[in-house]
Amino acid sequence: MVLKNKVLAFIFFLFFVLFLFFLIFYFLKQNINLFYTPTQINSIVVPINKIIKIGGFVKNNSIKTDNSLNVFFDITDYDNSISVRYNGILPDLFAENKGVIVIGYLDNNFLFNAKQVLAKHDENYTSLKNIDISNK
Amino acid sequence: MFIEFGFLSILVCLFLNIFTILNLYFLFFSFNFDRKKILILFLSQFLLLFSSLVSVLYSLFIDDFSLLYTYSNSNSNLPFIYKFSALWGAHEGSFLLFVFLFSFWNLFFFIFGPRFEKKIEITLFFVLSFIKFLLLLLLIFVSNPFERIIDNIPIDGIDLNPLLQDINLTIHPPILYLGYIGFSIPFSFSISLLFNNQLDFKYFICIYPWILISFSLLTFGIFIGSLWAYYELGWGGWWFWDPVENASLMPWLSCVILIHFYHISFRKNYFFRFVVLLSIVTFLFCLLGIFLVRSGLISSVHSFSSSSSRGFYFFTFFLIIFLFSLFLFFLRFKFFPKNNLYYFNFRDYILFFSLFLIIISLITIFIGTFLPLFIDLFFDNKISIGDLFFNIVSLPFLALSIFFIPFMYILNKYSVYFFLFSLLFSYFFIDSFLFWKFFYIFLFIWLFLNFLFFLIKIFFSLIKINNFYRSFLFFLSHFGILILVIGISISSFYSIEKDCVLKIGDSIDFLNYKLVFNRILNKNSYNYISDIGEFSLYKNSKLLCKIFPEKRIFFVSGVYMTESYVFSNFFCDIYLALGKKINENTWSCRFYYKPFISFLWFGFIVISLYSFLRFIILINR
Repeated sequence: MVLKNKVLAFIFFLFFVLFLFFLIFYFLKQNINLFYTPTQINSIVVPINKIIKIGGFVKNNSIKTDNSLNVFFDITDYDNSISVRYNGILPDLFAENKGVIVIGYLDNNFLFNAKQVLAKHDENYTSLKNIDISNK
Repeated sequence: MFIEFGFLSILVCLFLNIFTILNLYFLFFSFNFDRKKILILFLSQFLLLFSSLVSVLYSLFIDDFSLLYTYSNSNSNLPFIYKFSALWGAHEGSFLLFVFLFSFWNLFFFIFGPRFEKKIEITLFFVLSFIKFLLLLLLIFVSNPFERIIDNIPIDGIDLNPLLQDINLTIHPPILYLGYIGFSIPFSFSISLLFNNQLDFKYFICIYPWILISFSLLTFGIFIGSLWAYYELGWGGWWFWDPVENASLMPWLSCVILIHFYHISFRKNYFFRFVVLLSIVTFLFCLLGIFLVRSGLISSVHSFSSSSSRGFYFFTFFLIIFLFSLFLFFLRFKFFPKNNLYYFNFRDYILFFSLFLIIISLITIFIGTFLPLFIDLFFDNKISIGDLFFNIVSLPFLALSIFFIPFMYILNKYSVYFFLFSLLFSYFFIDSFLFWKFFYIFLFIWLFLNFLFFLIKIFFSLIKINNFYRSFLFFLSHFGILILVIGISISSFYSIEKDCVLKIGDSIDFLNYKLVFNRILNKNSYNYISDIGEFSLYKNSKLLCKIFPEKRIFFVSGVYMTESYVFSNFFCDIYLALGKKINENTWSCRFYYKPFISFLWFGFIVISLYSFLRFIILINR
């Protein structure tokens, strides 16, 4: 191969890789779910109608269900709390005072619409004893 | 008393290990290599680790709750078989199992492995022993399963996590660990070649079966894990792009690339550097996976303990091996034999391109898995990567590389028509036009037609195919991928999913099936009580079978557990799980209809079995 061709091939390859990385990071940026605590939601500006995650504990006596699959409950970090609506079957380890992570979006009425509810459990499975509430 | 014996045997094992390392060091400079002596040392270490494993198991069996590990992972009501699960259910025990299996695999390789020149062999076992030394240190100082509770000995234990009380999870860890550990052989072999500056591809041919066996075991381990997630954990899903799942997928993909580069090297004596580098990287991925699972830094359903001080030691362990091996690799980089100039044909370029795609996919998975950890450590900000990222970035690269599989040996003069046919078929016969659905259905039809045609060709004209043997092996090795693609694409795009509230007597209709809720039964067992729903499944208003999904309450921990019921025949699975009791006669239920999901399991088994058989065949040569 002539040197000129080699250089051309290399430049072409470089652009291809750059393009790929641009693509990857573009999609990565789209799919980053930020993690908030109820306190942060009340104090800082949180994007509305965008998928986010909230972690905390299920507040005492806050779980309300009717005869359908709709569930309302509050997530608290013992300072602030936020109401969550969920339509579906809750995980087995979901219970009051237990750690929970919800994925969903905040609507205009400041109600959190959960798409997914995760009850976290470590090896000792006493649900989430020591959830790291970041920047508390 | 038994436990102290177990701990003592670990200590003796450590001393023997140091003795082995010293011995190997001196043997390296002496003239003769006394295999018998090293064999005895390896065997005794294996037996000592075995006895310490047995001592923990014994304490689980006699319910000795003065042992911290037994207390936190077992209970007197725990059924017999799950005591084994409890043995490797939590961090300390599973790490003991890991070290034990590492020792076992060393011994196994020592006895059945190939013989090389003295220096290469000694360095190989030296590296293995050194890794074992580090593992033993970690076991003794950071994750000791022999800790006693000194005062206030509890009467009963906290029980094993009900999620882990499943037969699949009893066999999942040992097999997966063996898969991980298996890669230590090509790793230390590469290190040995680099160290001794014997960079010749001919040595690598003997080690190839040992790559295959680890690949087979790793595939089988991932398969069992997916099966467990499908039945026990995931409400019908089998892969969640969870960090821990990714940790097992990364070495798998890296091993796939390694195997392909090995074949390029084998045929053309090219890319030997890559073979050595990849065999190092694959093992590093395995170690990284272990570090990730045990660090407690990542939130995952599988994660073990949440103490991050332990993570620090594991990371140091990883860093030592990482820096050392890559340093050695780049030190010897220019000593590799010169690539003889070879002109590649079309087929080779296709292979390079698809391997490149797999590498890109591997990189994206790596970024997606470790970016949250990285940002958490350096910017103190919690994020997570949604599984959509993996689905629209990592997966299409893999799928595209799969698209090129038939180009290798299976392509024939009709393939253009197959291509057009599958394009048109998937375009016109997909009810709702979705790009991904179109793409994956197209992929599946394209693969299927090419493979089918190849099979017919074999059947009718055995002799006429040029280089028959090679293309037949190619067909067999990629056959599992075809079945896997069928299973994944159909089951994910044509499944029906429903959450509903059912009263006794209510029914669900779907396709030509009908599911009727008959009644609720109660059952008492060893360590749980359960409500069992009785459902009848009708097909074309004929009774097919009865379905019994279960809701268990484990009375030791008070934890609810859903035991779903899966009715499966060859072509579809009907999956039913009880949700919550709403009142006496009403339950919420989750229901799935998944066509062709059995193909998925079958594909895993075929891939795993094929590489296992290749191992057996190659090792007997």
